[in-house]
Amino acid sequence: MPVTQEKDTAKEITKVLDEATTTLDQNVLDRLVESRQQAVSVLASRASSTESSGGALRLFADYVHYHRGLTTTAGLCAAVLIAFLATQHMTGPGASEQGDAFLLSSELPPEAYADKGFDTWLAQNSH
Amino acid sequence: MATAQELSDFLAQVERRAFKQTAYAVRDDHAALDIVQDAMLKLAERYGAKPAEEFPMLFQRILQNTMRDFWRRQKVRNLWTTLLSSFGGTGEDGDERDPLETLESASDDGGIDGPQVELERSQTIAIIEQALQKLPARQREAFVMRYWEEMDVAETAAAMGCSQGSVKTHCSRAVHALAITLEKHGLGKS
Repeated sequence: MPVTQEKDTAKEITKVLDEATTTLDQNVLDRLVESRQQAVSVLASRASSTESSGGALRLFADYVHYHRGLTTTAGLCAAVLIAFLATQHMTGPGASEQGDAFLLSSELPPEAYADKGFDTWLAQNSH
Repeated sequence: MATAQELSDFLAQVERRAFKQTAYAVRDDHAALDIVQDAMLKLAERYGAKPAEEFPMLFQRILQNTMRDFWRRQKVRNLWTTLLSSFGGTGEDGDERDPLETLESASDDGGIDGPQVELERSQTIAIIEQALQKLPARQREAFVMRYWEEMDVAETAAAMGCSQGSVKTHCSRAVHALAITLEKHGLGKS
């Protein structure tokens, strides 16, 4: 069935279905109105509680809840940044200063560590 | 955040269609009313902070999920009923009635004091409603949301939790099946 014909057929069917909604039983209509009013009163009470108590906090919580994707990404970025800074802090100037102090206080001269054959010589003579 | 007035206007606009749509699916007016009420309350409680423009899609999604919950509960209840009835003998007559028969008798009632046109109209409605009830659930959902609620393909796909391609396929099959039923009853396009 072509798309235009499909849409035309659907339109005709929905027109009939719309007619069916105009002949609903009064009890059904009353119940629908009652349900709607309940829902509206729930929203109204929710809005008033937001305004009266902890409005800003609740709005922030709602914002976080409805932008979960964004807040999760921001949290991950923050965690990566903190990890990077912590690594930098541990391996930064402080760590190199400690390394220098170790070399200067060592029994061996610093040149010995720079010598390519030193490790091999040390391994052979350590036994 | 949507205002109470916006919610009220939206619900007033969709409540009748929501009821009929649910009644087609569950074939029980009382259950349909409960489901619609439940869906309305959930919309207000959980999504009241959303802008009113998002209500149609959200409401449809909630309605479909509430219907599925109903079916799950019904399945468990039926299981217990079957188990208990196997111990307690036969049930009362008339409990198990075909909802299609109810529709047929309801449509027949309209002919007593109405003109011929009114009778034909109510018969056409009954035929289409029966055909809609017989559709597979996903096809019915897609048809109702896409064409009756006039949601676009993307919104329908989001509400149904499937791809846009699936929505188009479901809609096409639904319209095709409905058109065949109408033709069988001499109501199709010439």
